[in-house]
Amino acid sequence: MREAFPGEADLVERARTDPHAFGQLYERYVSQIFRFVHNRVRDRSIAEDLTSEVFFKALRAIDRYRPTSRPFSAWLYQIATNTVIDHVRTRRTTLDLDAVAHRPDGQPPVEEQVARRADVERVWDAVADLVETQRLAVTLKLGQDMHTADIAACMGRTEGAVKLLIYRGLNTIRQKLEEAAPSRREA
Amino acid sequence: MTATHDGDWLDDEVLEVVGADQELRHAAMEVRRTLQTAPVDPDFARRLGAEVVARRQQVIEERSQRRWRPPALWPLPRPILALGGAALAVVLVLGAILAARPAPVPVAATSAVAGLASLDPSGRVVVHFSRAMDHGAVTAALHVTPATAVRTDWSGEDLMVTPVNGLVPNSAYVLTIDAGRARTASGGHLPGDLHVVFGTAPVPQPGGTPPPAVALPLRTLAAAGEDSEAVIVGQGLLLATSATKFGATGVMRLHATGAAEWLGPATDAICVSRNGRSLAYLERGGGTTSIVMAASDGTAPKTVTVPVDEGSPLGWMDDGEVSFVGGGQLQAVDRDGHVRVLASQQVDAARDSVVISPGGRYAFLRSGSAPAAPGQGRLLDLAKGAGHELPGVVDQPAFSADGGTVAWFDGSGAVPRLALAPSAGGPVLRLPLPVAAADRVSDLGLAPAGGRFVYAVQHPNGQAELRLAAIDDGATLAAAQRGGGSPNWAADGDSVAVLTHSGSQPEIAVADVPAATASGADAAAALATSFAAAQVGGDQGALRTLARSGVDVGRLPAASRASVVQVSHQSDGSYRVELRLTVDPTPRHPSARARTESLELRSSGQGGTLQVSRAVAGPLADVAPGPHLARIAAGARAGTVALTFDADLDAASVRGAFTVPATYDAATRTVTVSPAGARTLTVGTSLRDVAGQHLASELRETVTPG
Repeated sequence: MREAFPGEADLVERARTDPHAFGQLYERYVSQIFRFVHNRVRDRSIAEDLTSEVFFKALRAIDRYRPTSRPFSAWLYQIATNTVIDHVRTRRTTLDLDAVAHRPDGQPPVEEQVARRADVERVWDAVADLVETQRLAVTLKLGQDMHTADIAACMGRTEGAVKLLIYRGLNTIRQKLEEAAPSRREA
Repeated sequence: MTATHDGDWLDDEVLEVVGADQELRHAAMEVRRTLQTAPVDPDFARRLGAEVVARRQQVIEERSQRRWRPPALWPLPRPILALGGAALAVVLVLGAILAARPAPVPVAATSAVAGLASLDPSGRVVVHFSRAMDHGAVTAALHVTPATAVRTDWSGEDLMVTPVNGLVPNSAYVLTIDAGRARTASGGHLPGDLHVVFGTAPVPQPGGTPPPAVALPLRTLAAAGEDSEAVIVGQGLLLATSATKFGATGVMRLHATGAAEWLGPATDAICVSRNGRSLAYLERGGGTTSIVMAASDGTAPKTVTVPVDEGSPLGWMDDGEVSFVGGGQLQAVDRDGHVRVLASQQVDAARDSVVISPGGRYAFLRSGSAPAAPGQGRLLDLAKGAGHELPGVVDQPAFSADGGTVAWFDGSGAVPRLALAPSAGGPVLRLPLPVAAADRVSDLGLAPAGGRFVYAVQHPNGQAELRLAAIDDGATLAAAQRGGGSPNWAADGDSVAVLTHSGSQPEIAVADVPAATASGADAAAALATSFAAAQVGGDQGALRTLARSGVDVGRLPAASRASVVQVSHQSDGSYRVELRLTVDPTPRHPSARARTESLELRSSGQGGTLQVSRAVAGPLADVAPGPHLARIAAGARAGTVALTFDADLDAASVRGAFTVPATYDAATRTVTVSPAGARTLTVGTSLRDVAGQHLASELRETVTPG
């Protein structure tokens, strides 16, 4: 098994019988999982709920996790991916720009932040518009800095297929950003 | 990796994807910068972390207590849930609400240690409160039973309780938040006391500097088949499942003189009954399988034909039946051929690990399809229809000769350790072993009298060892520079039969182990410990094995944990052992209960083996406030006696409580006194613990200085 950090495999094994070992795994991954979920739902409150759900599922399922099948991180992201998909299916909540602009965790928009904020929202929108597989591959690669091999394990695809998804996704994002830029200038 | 301005970077895999396309690279940079701008709220992360650990603890406890369902015709009573079932202490004891006071505020206290039976005594306790609390008021409201000097720190609403001198090993604890003093941050009072109950693990008790290890001589008796096994059935007499001698191969009776007798075709399973009187081995041939039951030397054989699965072990169930795996289930057959199902759980004997305890009450099962990771495997209690995991178990566990204690290698840490516990479940003693992380340990065998064990070590350079080691501290007492598998001890504990190799040729060999150097008192303590472990497990069969026939073991009470308080040698040559049996507290009854039990141990006529000749249990009662004597023994220095207490003592109270010179070691909670010769030692009720609670009544102990 590829270890995301030294001693991960041992920690995973100990987590089967030691709750504090699971706690250490949680500490290792909570920021990444939260960011991953947040990038998908773009709402801090929902992201916290879903992050909780991811780790609650993981702590119940880790006894069935087999390190030979895929890295622990890929297994955890698979849970996160499914959790987000379930959430989207049941809620169908797609945040519009207004909602994003006023999301509770955001800072009050001050003059100097406006331009950057708009850029962020354009990128977010571009990512959100990707087809699901491209969005997942791009989010895991650029949002989580995961190895392509681990993303492949998480998505059940080959490394080559994942690279292709990232390439196509980035091309689509580039086009969206180019399209959005003139309209913004015109506005 | 490519670093850019502002610390942005793209790893090599992304660079490979985007190639030389600068616009695509720029887009990737923007996406990465955007997607990495959502830091998790630290307060949320901390709260969720505490919840995650608590929930994981709950899952582990539930899993270990998960009921295993016996067959429909199961004749025995339902099992009693042990302390470990209480996983998450969320304890709200409703108190009287005074009319003049505002309504109490419900507060939950959770802790990952709640319900644990084997917390590391050097560990700390973290209690998480469900509401913002007045930290000063809660700290003032905290008390630990037995009285323990602690340091407290807060992290958010987590109260961290660190015992100054650690916790007492093998002890039951209650951490209480007194509702009369605790307050929430907004000044609300609690409806009742909050309790967190847990127990600590026993720890090794080294007996001083071990002597240097000596050579462990191995005597080869015969060539053997690859999976052969041999048992010692008498003085200089072995039975082997597949031995080759004088050109013949098969089940052989091997004599120390070199003589051998062929008993039947080679087989793959053999066992001796717990009392050593009966032998059973498997016969295969003509498409059928049979179990041969015979006297211990192989004479008077009786054969019953019964389908036995490939790879099945055999185990005697108290001389009456032999257990085996047949039709994918654990079954038992008696001498008349009557078969019954012991457990409905499916077993693939050819692939799964199956170990049956002496007496047949317990069976360890590990699925062959499970990865070779530590902790995969359950110990079934065939009498109670219950089961529990052996934490961190690697390789196969081994049982004591009475079956009441199970030992295994715990591979959950960086270096394997030996773990011991009552077979029915209970506090786990973990013992460090003198091995390196890369060494592979296997083939564990506990000596019949307790106190020692053998195991094999495979070093990374290919060298192998068979080691004899002490249970006290894991120190190696003797070693052979050859590996030795499938160890089977002789009933007298003087030798071990193993399967070893000469080059690639398997051989049956006997290791003559050095005589035990343990004192009579140590041997008595070892027997009492085994007896107590069997009592904790409610294992009547094991108790009967360790006691003389006249002892009514059926009337002895159960307990959560037991410890030896004192061993004294009597003038008639017998030993008197005082045990403390504890029933651990629960959230419903947050107070430990305890009783004393007095054992008389005498040597049997033949071979001088110690047996329990009398056992008298006192009444069970809530443990009274104040310190209690946990152990009294000869001190490390000549002429001294060491009295260890279950609570941190107020050092200022020690000198006045003893009528002889006394010194107090706070780290071990031990008072060392220097009485002149054997005499009665008196400890006055002025002795108090750090909570100011006095000794409940004067102690008068007859002591023999070391």
